[in-house]
Amino acid sequence: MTRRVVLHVGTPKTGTSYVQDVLFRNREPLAEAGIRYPAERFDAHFLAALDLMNLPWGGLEAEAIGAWDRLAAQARSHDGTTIISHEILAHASPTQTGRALESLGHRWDAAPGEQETEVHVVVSVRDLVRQVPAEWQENVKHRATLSYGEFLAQVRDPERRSRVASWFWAVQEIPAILERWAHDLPPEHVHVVTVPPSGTAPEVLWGRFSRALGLDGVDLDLDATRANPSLGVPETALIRRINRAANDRLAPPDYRPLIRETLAHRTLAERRDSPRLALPPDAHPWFADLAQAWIAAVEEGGYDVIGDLQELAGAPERPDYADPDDPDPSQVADAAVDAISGLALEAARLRAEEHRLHEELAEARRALERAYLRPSYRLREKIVQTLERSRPGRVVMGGYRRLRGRNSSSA
Amino acid sequence: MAPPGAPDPGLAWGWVAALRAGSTVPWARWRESGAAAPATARDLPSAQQLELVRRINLADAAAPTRAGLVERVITASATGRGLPERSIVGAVPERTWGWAPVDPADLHDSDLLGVAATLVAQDLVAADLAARSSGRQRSVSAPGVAVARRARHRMLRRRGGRQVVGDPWLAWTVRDELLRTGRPLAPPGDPGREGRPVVVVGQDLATMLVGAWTARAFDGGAPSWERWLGSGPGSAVPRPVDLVRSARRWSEVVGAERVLLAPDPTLLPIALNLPARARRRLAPPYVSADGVDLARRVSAPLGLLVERGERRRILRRVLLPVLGADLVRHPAPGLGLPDSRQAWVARRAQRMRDDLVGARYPVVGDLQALVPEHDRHRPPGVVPDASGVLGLSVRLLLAPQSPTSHPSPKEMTR
Repeated sequence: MTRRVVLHVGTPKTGTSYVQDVLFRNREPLAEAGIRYPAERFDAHFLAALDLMNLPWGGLEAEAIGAWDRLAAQARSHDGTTIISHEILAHASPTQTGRALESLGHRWDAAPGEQETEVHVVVSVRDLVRQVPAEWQENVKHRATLSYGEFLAQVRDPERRSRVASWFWAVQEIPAILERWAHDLPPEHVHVVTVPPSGTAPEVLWGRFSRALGLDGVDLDLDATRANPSLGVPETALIRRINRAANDRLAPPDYRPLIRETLAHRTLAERRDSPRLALPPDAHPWFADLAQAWIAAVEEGGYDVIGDLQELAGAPERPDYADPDDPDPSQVADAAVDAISGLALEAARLRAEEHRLHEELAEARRALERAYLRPSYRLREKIVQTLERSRPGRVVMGGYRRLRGRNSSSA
Repeated sequence: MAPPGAPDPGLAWGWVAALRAGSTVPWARWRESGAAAPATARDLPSAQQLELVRRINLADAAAPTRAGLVERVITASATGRGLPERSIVGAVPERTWGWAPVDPADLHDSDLLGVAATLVAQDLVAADLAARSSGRQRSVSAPGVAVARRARHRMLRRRGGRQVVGDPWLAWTVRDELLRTGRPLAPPGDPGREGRPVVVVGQDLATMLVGAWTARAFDGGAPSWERWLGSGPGSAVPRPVDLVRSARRWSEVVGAERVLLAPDPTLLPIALNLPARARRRLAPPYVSADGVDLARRVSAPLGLLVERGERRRILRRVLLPVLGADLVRHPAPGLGLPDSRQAWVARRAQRMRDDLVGARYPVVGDLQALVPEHDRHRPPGVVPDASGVLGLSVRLLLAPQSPTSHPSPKEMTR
C-alpha cells in the first residue's frame, strides 16, 4: 500500500473544528478503511502545530514539546493514509513547512515517483468578506481590546508590521499559504476547498471536505459536537468592553473558561437575531479587488479546486451594515442581560462544586485529626511545645533546626 | 543564469554558500558581482536568517564555533507571531500578494533577534543538561542530591521561617542568601514564625523599578521595558514595587507592629539579624540593560523547550552567570529610567515615603532612602537597545565554553 499523508493546513474559520471533530470521533471506522487519524486527544494536532511552529499559546506550549515529531513518526509508521488537520498550520513559515514535509517522508529533491510518502495538502478557503470580521471576532475572544476600525487599519497597512496584521495575513493569504506548503508538490496533490456562501446546506461543505480528504465511501457519524460559533455585532462589542474593563484583573487561565467558553460560546453565541458582523462599505472594494487577485493566482497554480473559486469573491456590500464600534446601545444592553444570566448560572454551578469540595475537605480533616491522636505524634508535639515555652528550649530548637539545615547541600 | 534584472535564486544560493564559508559581503554587493550556486534545500533561507549569519561572520569569522552556528541559523525558525520569514529582493519574483521581498541589510536588528534568541534558548537548555550530567550544578547533579535539596528546601520553607517581601529582585537575592545559609523561610503568602517580623525590603524607587522589571524578565513573559513602565493604570506604581500596598496587606495579616520596613539595602543585615559581613552577599547581581532585555526575549523560546518553573531556574541559574561573565570583557551600562519618567518617579517615591511614615511601621533605616537622589558618581542607566542585545546574543552563541562554566551570579557580586 502507498504511504499517503493528507495535510489539512487551514485556513481558520472554514469549518475546520467540525471536520476535526468528525475525524476524531470516527477514528475506528477510519482505521477500518485504512485511514489513520493519529490523535489521543482532540487537540493533539493543535499541539503538534504549536510545536512545529514554535508558537507560545497561553501556557499550552509546555504540553506541545515534541508533539510534531511524535505525530510525524506515527504517520511514517502507517502503511496507508494518515490525515493531519489543523488550521493554524496555515501560519507555518517556509523553514517550518520544509521541516514538516521532510519529517513526513517528502524529499524536496526527489521526483514524484520516488517519494517515500505521497503528501497531499488541503487548504480550505473562505471569502474575505466573512474572514475579515471573523478574524477580528477571534481576536476579541482572545482578550483583544482593539476596535474593528483599528483592526481594519492594521490589516490594510502595507507594512503589515503589527502583530494583528502579521497573524492575519499569515493565516489568510491563500496564494502565499499554497506557495509555502505546496510549491514543490504536483498541483494535483494540492486541494483547494472553497466554503460555499452563507445559507448553503452544511452537507455541501462536508461533501467537499470528504472528497479532498479521501473519505468518500467511508461510513462516518457526522453528528459532531464541536464548532466555533460566531457572535453578532452587539455581542462582540460587549466582549470587547469586558476585555477593556477586566483584562488587567482576569488571569488568562480564568479568561478562557469564563469569558470565551461560558460567556461567548455558550451564552452569547445562542443569540442569533442580532446583526451579523460584516465588512464596512468603505473597505469592501479593497478586499474585493484582493479576492480577484487571489482567484487568479490560485487558477494559475493549476491546483485541484473542490467547489467554486468564484465563491472567494464573497457577498456584495450589505446595505444594513451595523458598525461594532458604534453598536445600538439597547442591543448591547440586551446582550449584557443574557451575559449576566449566563454568568450567574455558571456561578451557581461553581458554588455547588465549592460546597461539594468543602464537604470533601472536612472529611479529610476529620481523618487527619484521627491520625494526630496517635501516641507517638502527641509525644513529639508535647516535647516541641515544652521547649518553645522557655528561652533555653527555644535555643535548643533553633540549634536543632540550623543543624538540619547545615547537614544538607545548598542550592 | 537569469537575464539581467530578473530574479535569480541561483545567485542567492551562491550568497548562501559564501556566507557559509565566512563571507561578510552584503546581498546588494553580491548581486552585482557574486557567483551563482545550486540549491541545497527546498527553500532559500529567509532574509533574517542570512543577515544574522552575515552579522555572525562580521563578529568573528575565525571563531571555531562559527561554522556549526551558521548551519543552526540557516535551519532555525523564530519563535512566536512576530515578523514572518522574509524573502530576499532579487531572488524571488515580485508578486501582488505576500510580504514584499527585502534587502537583508535593511532589516531592523530586532528582526534578527527572533532567530538569535531561539538559538540562545536552545544553548541554555543544552548547557543545563550538560551541567546536570556532569554534576557541575549541584542542584540537579544526581537523583539523590536533587531529592536531598528539595527536601531541605521544603524544610527551610516550612511554616515557622521568616517572610521577606518587597522589591522583587532584592527580595529574591535575600531569600536566596537566607536559604543558602540554612535559615528557614516562610513559603509565599505565609507570615512565618510568630514573633518574627515580615521584612519588607526596598530601596530607592528608580532602582526598585529597574529590579522589578529585571525580576520579571528573569521569570519569563515580561513586556518591553517601555511598555511595562507605561502599563500601570493611571500613574500608579507597578504592584511589585508598591511597598505601601505590600506593607498594608501584611499588616492586615500579622498586625502593623510585625511589619518591618527595610528601605536601605546597606542596613539589611540588621533588619534580618545577620552578621554585618553578609551585606555584600545581599546585593542583587548586576545585569546590563541589554542583558535584561535578552533574558526577556529568550524566555519565550525557552518556554517552548522547558516547563515554566524550569524556565525561571534556567534564566536565573544558567543565563544570569553567562551574562555576568560577558560583562567582564564587554562592560555595558545598566538599565535606567527614561528621562520622561524621572519626575513621575520622584513624585511617587515621595508619596510612598510619606504614606509609610504615616503608617508608623517599625523601620530599620530612613524611609527617605526610597526617594531617588541624584548621584553624580553613579553611571546613568540606559534603555535596552536592539543592536546591543543582538551583539550580546551573537557573542553568547559564538562562545566556545558551555555557559555553566562561568562563575555564579553570587560570585559576580562578591
